[in-house]
Amino acid sequence: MLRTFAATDPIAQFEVKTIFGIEDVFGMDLSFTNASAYMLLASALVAGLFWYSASRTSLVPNRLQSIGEMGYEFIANMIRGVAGEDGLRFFPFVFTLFFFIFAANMIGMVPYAFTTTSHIVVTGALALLVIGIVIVYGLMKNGLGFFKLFAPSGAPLPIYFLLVPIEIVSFLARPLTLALRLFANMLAGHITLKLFAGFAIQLAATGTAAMLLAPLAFAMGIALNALEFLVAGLQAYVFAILTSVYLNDAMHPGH
Amino acid sequence: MTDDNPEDLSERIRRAQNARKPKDTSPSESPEPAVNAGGLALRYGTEFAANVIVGLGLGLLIDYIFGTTPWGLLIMLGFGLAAAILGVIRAYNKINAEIAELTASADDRD
Repeated sequence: MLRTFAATDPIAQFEVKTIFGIEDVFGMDLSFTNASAYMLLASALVAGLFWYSASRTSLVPNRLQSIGEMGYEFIANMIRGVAGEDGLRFFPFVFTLFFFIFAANMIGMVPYAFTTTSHIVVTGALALLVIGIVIVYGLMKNGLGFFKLFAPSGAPLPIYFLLVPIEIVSFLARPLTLALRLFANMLAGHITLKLFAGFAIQLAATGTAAMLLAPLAFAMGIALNALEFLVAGLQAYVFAILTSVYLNDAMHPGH
Repeated sequence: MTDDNPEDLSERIRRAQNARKPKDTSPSESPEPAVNAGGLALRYGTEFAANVIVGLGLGLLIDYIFGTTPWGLLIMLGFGLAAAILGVIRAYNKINAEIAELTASADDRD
């Protein structure tokens, strides 16, 4: 009985295991873990795909080149739609971000694989990178005019004493929502997947009339699997589009 | 598919060129479609929680720096709650606009 529970523990899949330890580098634990390995795999997959798809180009593209071109067009159109033509200077950043998250989410859908984006450290680091670029670039481009972001024009003066702190809080909450949304979606999705798969196994193992319910749980697991694929793609898209929205704010504050 | 039809090709080239022209639309916020109830709940929930947590953190930071315990915390938590409600209202308006857009384009297709 204990072993059944151990095999269906919905949280065990998120465990970070050290592959080889590099402990105590200036007081920090820099061990190479399964999370590092899967992030490397995601980067390598994306880099490999686009390197290969760009390595032998022809006027009539083959399949892989077609995938590369479609990916380029997709992200370029998204940035143009949100941040205009001059938003394209951030194209390499948004493109890399989208495909890294997309690859990490999709690798997470493979059974027994580790989902790096279900860890708030990973999504938090990505969100901090985004907001860091927004702040640094916004200050570089607009100087102190960047702070117009916190004071929307057209309100009577006394209102600003309330409005400015609220806007500052909601600006600082952006990286947190960005990180939390991706993390929460992946975590919740993978826990429900594991739970329903576990139900199916546990019900089938009872050996009583409850066995008849096992196919139901299994069917639910399959339906959830399809939904999870949708969520995996969608959350990568949401992360990328919110990034371009924030970058647009950095370029044109005071909207 | 009549891909080798020259008129069709020039039409397609024109369409591709038009698509690349900078559109005169104001930048829109996230067009995340409302997937399902769970997705919506997560979206509102993260929006609310993140703002309150930031308000709390700022309040604690102010108290730590200026030694004004508990006033910084109380006031910034208030601002955090206000920002949270503002965030949820913004998200709600965005989702409603998306749904209106979706139904409008669905009507066009009929």
